[in-house]
Amino acid sequence: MSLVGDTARAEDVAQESFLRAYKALADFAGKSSFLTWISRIASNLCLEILRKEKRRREDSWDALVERLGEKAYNLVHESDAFGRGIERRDFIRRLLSELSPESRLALTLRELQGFSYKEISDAMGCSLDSVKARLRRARIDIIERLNVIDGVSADE
Amino acid sequence: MDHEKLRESVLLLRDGELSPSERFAVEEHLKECPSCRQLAVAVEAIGPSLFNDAKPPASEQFISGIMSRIDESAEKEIGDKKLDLPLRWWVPAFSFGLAGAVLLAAMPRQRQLLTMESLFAARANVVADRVQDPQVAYLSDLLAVQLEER
Repeated sequence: MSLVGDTARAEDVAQESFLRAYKALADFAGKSSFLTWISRIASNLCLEILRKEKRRREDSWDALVERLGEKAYNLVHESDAFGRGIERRDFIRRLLSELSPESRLALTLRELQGFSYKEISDAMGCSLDSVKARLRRARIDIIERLNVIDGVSADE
Repeated sequence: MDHEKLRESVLLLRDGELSPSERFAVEEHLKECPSCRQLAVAVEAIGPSLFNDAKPPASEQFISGIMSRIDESAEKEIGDKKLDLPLRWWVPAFSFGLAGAVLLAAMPRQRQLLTMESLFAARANVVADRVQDPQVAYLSDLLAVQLEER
């Protein structure tokens, strides 16, 4: 859900992953576990979606934060106490969309799913070093963008 | 380890996948480097800040949704196969038909018909001479006149 947005879309993507797995079942050679194999199919589908989404993006992160002002700070740091659940989720999604699709997927698999580096590398079909590089890149990019929010908030 | 390398390891410390020696080096470095300590705190905050939404439970229609999509896909494949069979024959049949039509259109039809009629008239003349039948002779003459008129 943190990758594709709302629950309905996440469910649609999950169903599509299973459908692709069903169609490709004859290609499953048993070299990896079934879970790894199906994770890879789902990862490829997510990457396709994230790449399309990245091409559609409108304004820059800095402009968006400037426009929202202190609200951006509250959306990240406050809980849903202000009834901003959906707004906050959209904002977080927008923040994550600043990352490259590969970094975003690696970070989501690590932080949300609790995948190990090995599991991420299997799911994404890349080396362990690539996983580490993608996680580092993702965290630096997020911290930089959160710093922009904190900076704007401090100025106000 | 230089500072840059240590800083890179700080970014991964949270994951618990550094080797024991790397982890020891990073932890020792954090005791004396405020900027890396700040970075470690920021990295720690990413998970709780950005990924704290509870995972939604799968809807009741999830499995039935997958099954119906699989059925739809199978039906589409069967439909495609049914379409494939006549297409395999229609394409060459249509091609041959079209080629024949083009050939016919390109042929000098009028001239060929005249040639055929001339041959027929000549043949009728020979038959009329042989048979010596007035009716055959009449038909033969009629044909010859019509040919001359054209």
